[in-house]
Amino acid sequence: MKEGLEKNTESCCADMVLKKKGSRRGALAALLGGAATAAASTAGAALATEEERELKRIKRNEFFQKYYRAMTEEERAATVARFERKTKLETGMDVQIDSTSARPGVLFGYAFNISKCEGSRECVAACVQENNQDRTSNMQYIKLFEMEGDMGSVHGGDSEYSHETPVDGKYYLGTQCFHCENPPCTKACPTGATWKEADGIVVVDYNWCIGCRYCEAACPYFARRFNWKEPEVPAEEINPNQHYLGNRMRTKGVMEKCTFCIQRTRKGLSPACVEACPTGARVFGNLLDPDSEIRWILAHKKVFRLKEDLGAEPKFWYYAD
Amino acid sequence: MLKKLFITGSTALMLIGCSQEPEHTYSEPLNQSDSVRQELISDHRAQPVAMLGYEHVYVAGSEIERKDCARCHQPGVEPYRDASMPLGQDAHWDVVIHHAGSMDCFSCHKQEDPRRLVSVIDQDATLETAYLHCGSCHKNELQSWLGGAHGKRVTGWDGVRIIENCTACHNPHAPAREKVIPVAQPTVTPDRAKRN
Repeated sequence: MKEGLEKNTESCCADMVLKKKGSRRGALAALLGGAATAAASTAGAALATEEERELKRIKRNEFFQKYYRAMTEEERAATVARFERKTKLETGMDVQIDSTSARPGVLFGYAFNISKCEGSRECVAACVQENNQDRTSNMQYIKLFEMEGDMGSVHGGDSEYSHETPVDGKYYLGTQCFHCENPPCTKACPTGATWKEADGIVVVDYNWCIGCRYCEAACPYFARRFNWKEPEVPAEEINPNQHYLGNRMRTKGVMEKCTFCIQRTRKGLSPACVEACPTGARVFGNLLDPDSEIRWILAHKKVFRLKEDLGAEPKFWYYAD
Repeated sequence: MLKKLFITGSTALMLIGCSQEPEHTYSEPLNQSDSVRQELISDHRAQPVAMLGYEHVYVAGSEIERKDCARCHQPGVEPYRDASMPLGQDAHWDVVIHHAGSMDCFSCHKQEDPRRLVSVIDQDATLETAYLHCGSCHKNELQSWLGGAHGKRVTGWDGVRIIENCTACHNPHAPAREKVIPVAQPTVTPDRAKRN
């Protein structure tokens, strides 16, 4: 029905739209679409090229698109194709946006070896590169804390160290989104723009997020990041392998966070931080697979999680040799 | 504790809509086909771990295996010796040994063939199976490495497990890791940096 309205947009007048049966969202889109077309015809010089008109049309359709979880497979494919075209028009880059769903029988988990991490921050750099984070505000999902002894929490740690590492007597503890099994952030979201997928990854529909930042306040682990400005990534640095719920280009005023590199992990690859780690301190795997490395660690090592008493059940364990 | 090898047919079964076997509640790997497995294994020049129960784990190859020791070390030919220098350092002067105090070349390398290593786990240990040699002393590390808590996996989380050998991360002659300069931590905003 939505496609039908979009086709009629050019010709229909407001009366016809309002009399027509359909969703309020669709009717509003058609009305505004008519207005936009009228404006375009009067200010023809402003929208000179076909590309500019196409981009305008794409942005309007984006504004009125449905909730990702409510989309059918066809609607998802059409949405993804529209975003690919949008990136092409805006940056000149050919990107592939994936919309692969969670595989049954997979629940992702992560383990971090605090006695092996050298604090080299290779993971942070790889994450920024992989996930197309805003380069101008230096947004980062991962924070490495230089810790000493039992500090109880990361608040005593230093995350802005700039000396040779590892320092004797200190250890390095990395935080990011822990993809809680009982996530407080998704409950705080008033629009349902963030949820936990079947494979345990907590994701954000950037087009459904209204930027209220309730989730940021609800997260006990400070894992969520807000786009205070339009994110900027140089065209040549854009990672073209994207996922709709992952590293596709974000806009100003939306939340984003670590997605366990959903664009990689759903294809069987490890997250970029795991691959970049020079020491192998980061281990990623399927918690439901009894032969996986992560299950071996949980069974054989002394593991702990941060703020366990809150009951959020993060799927991110720390262990030491 | 012979571990279960992945069953190649089950992905195909899932594709045609058959229900999964009840004992396998977890998903079978994506890159399951023999050709993909073989490609990964040959790309990394990987060999299966030569230990009972871990034959499904592969160890990636490394550059050192290409060195041709036989150019100098030949059976029946006595290696060049300079008595004024420590044993082995006369020819391999670039090798500095910082390993457990009083070790020399032949604590690890066999004198008749340096590519073969001394090991209490397996007398046939070579440079390719250096973990058999390292694990002779470092037993806890060997266990953790086989299980997945120590060392680095070179393939993705799914499918065939190929891991790095000990010598990929540790210089065997000086195995302690060197200090590194971390990637610079950028300030939150350039403006704030200017104000400070």
